[in-house]
Amino acid sequence: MAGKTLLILASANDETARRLATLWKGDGARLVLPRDLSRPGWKYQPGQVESSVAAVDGELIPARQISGVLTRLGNIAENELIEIASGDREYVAREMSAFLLAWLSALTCPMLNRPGSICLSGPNWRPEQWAHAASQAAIPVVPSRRRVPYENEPSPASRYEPPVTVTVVGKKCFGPKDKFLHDGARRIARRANVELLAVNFVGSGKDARFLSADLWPNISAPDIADAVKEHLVGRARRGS
Amino acid sequence: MILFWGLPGDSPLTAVADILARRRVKTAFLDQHDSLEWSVELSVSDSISGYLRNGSQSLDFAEIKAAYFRPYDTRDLPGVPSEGPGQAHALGLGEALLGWADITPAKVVNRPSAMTPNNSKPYQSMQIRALGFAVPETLVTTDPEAARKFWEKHGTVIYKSVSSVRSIVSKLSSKQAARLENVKWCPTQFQEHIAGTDYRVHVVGDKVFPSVIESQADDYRYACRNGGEAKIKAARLSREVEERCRRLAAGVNLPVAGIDLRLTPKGEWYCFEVNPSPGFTYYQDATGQPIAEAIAQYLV
Repeated sequence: MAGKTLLILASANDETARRLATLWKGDGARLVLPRDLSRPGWKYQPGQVESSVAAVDGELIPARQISGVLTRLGNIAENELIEIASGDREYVAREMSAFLLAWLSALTCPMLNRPGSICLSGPNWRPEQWAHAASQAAIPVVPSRRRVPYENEPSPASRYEPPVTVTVVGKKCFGPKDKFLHDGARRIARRANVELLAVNFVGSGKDARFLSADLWPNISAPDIADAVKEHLVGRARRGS
Repeated sequence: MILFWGLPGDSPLTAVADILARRRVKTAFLDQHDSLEWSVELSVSDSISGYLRNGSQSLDFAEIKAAYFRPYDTRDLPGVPSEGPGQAHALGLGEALLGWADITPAKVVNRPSAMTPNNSKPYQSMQIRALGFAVPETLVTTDPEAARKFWEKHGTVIYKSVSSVRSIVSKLSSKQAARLENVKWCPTQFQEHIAGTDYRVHVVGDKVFPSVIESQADDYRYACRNGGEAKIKAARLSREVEERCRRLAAGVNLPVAGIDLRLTPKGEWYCFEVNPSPGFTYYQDATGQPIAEAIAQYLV
């Protein structure tokens, strides 16, 4: 897409993000790191996101030029802000996170994922909330248990079942070819209002039970990475 | 049973707890200072179950019909170790309570997920605008020149934190002009100054308690610091504005909310913030409005 930029918002330590930025260079991919928020040029007026500007690696990118955003951060971590005086890092990190939350929420381009109200990549749910959402979506659930203090009680004797993971990217699912798992994963993603999600189950078919979910799935596999790019850039091309 | 969680010195919490205690409503107060004495088990599948226990009490989550939570940051509490198993225990207890508060069918003042938009003021301002109130024109920027142009456009501009970190709302003055270069380091929020009269409106369910603030300070909450004062009096709003406040609180899923408004000389109402955990006793003490009573009735 001529002149369009695909933003990948990630930690400086995120090797997958770096690799994808290189792989997708032809689609205008640019890495946005936390330190970029300490560069002159960012501008956002609530209610006027179309005139906002991002400052990425020294270049000013107007919002209308952004084709899509892949967010691989929940918030800005203070330990990424090494250029900021140590006593100010916590405050600056919170200000940057609050700014990004507002700006990303207002952008209308395709995004994985759209921010929640506190997390840049969707709802920052606790395990209890994921289990509850799955249950509300009529999916059988492995009970989420939290005990404080954790007591080292012997677990009831049971056969260990390794989890199976289904990764949702928009309408597509990756993982075992299991209609029930795919359907369940999509329903949980819809409940969470996200389009990129790894959902872990135990069991298969009608006996499958929800175990957990992850807003930052492993997207390094070529087919999943391609689906992510298609979701972001392909939709922008089609104007959706 | 109604569960309270926070600190016994927290006046909004204790104001409501005291009313219910006098009425012999069954309540429990989980004092954050005693976090290390409490254990919790929370299990979630197709139902929510579990308990809170200390040496003398056992509270079944299923018996809790309502909750009023005003927790402080666990890490700031004296008596909570700064690291190790003790801190993990206190933080884990907090996580269990917050997780329960977001999914329980019990009434909660307020659900954690409804409170989080307040962590980003420009984010919340878009919610406020969508729900019917005017909001000041705002710029968040790391561009010193954009900040100067915004200032020139509006003449009088205030600056404040983007996040929920408490900041004193201050007018930009010529003394700070040179410091505008520092915005390069961190997105900074500027707003057009809206001249007018401040109101704080507490909404509790469908009850509305407006108060008007008389103060010359840019931020009346800190008027005393600069030798000023802030007088708070009970006020009346038109039915239309009252209804807008109800709609706003309901729209952001806050059964108890403190809404900050300003009425301009031309009669326009601007909203600056919806406070999801209002320290209402400051206003109640000044006005006599029965806000604690309303919260107590809501919880029962």
